[in-house]
Amino acid sequence: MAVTISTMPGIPSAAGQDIGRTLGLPPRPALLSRNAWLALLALSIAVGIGVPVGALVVPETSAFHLSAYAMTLAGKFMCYAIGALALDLVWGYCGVLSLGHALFFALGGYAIGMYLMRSIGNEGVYGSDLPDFMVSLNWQALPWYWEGTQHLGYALLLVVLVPAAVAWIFGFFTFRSRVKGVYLSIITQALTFAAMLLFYRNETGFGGNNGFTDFKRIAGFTITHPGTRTALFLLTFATLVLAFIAARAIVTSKLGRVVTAVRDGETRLMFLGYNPLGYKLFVWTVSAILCGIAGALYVPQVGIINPGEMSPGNSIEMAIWVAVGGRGTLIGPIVGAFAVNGAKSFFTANFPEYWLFFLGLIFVLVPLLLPRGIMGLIGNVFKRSTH
Amino acid sequence: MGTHPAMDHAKTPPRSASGFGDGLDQPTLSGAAALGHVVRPNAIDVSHGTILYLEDVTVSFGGFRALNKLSLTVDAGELRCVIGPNGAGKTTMMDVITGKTSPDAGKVYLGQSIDLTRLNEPQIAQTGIGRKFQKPTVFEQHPVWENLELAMKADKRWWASLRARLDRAAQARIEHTLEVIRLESEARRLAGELSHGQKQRLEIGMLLMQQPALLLLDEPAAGMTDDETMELAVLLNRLRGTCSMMVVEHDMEFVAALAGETGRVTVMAEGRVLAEGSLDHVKRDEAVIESYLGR
Repeated sequence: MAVTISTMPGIPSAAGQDIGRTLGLPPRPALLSRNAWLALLALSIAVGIGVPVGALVVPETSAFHLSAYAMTLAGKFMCYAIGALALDLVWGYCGVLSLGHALFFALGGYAIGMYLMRSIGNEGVYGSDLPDFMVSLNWQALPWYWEGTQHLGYALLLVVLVPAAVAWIFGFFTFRSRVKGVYLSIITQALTFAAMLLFYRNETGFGGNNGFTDFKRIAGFTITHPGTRTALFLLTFATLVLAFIAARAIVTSKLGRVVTAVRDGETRLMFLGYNPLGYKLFVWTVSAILCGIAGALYVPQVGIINPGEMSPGNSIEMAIWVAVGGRGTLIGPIVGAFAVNGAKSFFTANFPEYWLFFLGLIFVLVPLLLPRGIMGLIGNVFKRSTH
Repeated sequence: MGTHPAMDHAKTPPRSASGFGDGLDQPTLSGAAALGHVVRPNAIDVSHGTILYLEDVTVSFGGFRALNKLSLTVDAGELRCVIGPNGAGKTTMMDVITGKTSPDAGKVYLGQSIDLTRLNEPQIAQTGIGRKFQKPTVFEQHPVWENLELAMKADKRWWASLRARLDRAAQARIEHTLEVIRLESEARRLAGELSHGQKQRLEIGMLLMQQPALLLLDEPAAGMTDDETMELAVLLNRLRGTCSMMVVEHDMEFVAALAGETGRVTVMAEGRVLAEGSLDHVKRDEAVIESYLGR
C-alpha cells in the first residue's frame, strides 16, 4: 500500500512557479497545422487562378476549357459539401443526427430565390411586375413577406436569419425537453416533411410545386453569363474554405470539447455544471445558418428551387455523405459529399437505373466496412505505414 | 429553520437558465457564525455549521417509497459515511441532492439559503456539489487532461467556453491534479484507454478540479482492488477540511478506514435513517443488527 502523494492533494493553488508548463498544454489548440495552412493556401491559389483562366481565357475548342456544365456541377458539389460540413457539426461532434437539414438548405435557397424572382422584373412570360406564378394565381399584389426582397442585401439577411430562427425555435423546445437520439431524428424528418407540404401549396406564395425558376440576373449581372458563373463558383469556393475554418475554430475551442462531451456523456456533463441546452443550440443554429448559406449559393448556380429540395430523402442523403466521408472529422463530410455526388453523377449519366441500388449498397456497406468513413480508412493506412 | 431570514433568498428563482455565473465564492468551512451577516446570493451559507439539510424527503416510484421522510444533516467539513442494505435509498438520496430526481415532498437545502429542489442538475453542480458515480464515468474520447479541463471550476456557459483559453494558472491546476492522481504520464492518452483503477482516479481528479464544497461519492471503491481501496481512503482522508464529503459504501473495512473512531456513520434502511453515530455505536445498535448487519 504505497501512497506516493507528495503534496497536499486538496485544491491546488493557482500561483504555481514552475508548474503549469511541464506538459506544455496548449492555451488554445492551433486552428490548423502549418502544413494544413500551406495546403489550403495552395489549393486556394490554384482554384482562384485556374478556374477563371479555364472558364474565361481558354477557348471553348481547347481540351483545357472549363465548360459551364463542369463548373455548375463542381459548384453544386461544393454547396453540398458546405451542407455536409454543417450536418457533421451537429451529428459528428454533438451527436444530434438531424434528418431535416435539407429544410435549412432549402430555406436559404428560397430566400435568395425571392430576390432572383424579383430581379426578373417585368421580363417574365406575362410581362408583369409580379413573379409569373403570382400572375397565374390572379394575385394583384405581392404578399407582405415579399416586401423588400428586391434588395440583395435584405435577401442575404434572410438567408441567414430564416434558417437561424427556425433552427433556434425548433432546437430550443426539443433540446429543452431533452428529446434525444432517434426520437429527435424522427422529429427533424417530420419538420422538413411538413415544410415541404406547406411549400407545395400555391397559397403559401412560394410558387407551389414549380417553385422558382427562369432567373435572369443577379446583382445586375446576367445569371447565365460565364463571368457570373465563374464569380459564383469562386464565391462558393471561398465560402467552403471559410466555413471549414469557422468549423475548425468551433471544434478546437473549449466549446468544441464540451460539445463532444455532450455527444459522449450528456448526463455526466450536467453534473460537472454544464447546461447542454446553450451548447446544443449554438452548434445547431450555426449548422442551420451554414446550411442556409449553402442553399443560397446553390440556387443561382442550378437555376431552380422547388419544394422537392425539402423532401425527406434529401436530408437522408446528406447524412450518407457525412457517414461515407467520416463523421467527427471536418474533411470527411467534404470528401463524402464529393465522392457520393460524383458517383451519383456518373451513375445517372451512364446507368441511371442502377443509381438507387448503388446508393442502397453504400448505405449497407459503409457502416459495416468503413465505420469511420473514408477518413477513417485513410487514417488506418497512415497508421500502418508509419509503424 | 423555516423562519430564518435567509430563507427568503432561496425563494427567488435562479436568474438565468444557464446557471450561476462565476460569482460563487468558496464557502468558509470554519462555520463561524456572525450575527447579522449579509446573505450573499448563490454563496453557500454555512454560518450554522451545516452544509446539507434533508428534511422529511419523500420519493415514490409507482407505489414504492424509495425515500420515506428522510431527514439528515451533514456538517461543514465533515466526512460522512452512509451505509445500508440494497434498496435503502442511498443512491436515490444522491439523485435528489444533485437534482436528478425531484422529491415528492420535503426540503433539501445546501447551507442555509440554497434550495436545491428549485435548481436543475447543472445549476446544482455550479453551486458546489460534486458527484462521483458508482461506475467510473469519464469522457472516453477525450484525452485525460481535457477531462480535467472540462471539470475545472470556471464559467460554464457556452459563450464563455467559446472564448476560453487555458491560462497559466489553469495549466498549473491541471498538472497539479494529474500529480495528485498520479496520471502525469497518461495526460495525453484518451481516457477510454485507461485501466479501471486509473479511470477511478481520473474521476476523483475531475471532482478535485470542480472544487466542490460538498462531494458525494457513490460506492467509490466498487470494483477496486484492496490496495486501491485503501489508497482511496488515504486520499479522501487527506481531502478532509477542504470540502465536506458524503460517502455511500458497502465495504465495511473502507468505512472503518474513513470514519475512524469518531467519525459519524449514518445507517439507512427502507428510505429513512435507522441509526447515526460512530461506527462502533451503530454496529451495536439493535435495529441495525436486525436489518443490516445480521446477528
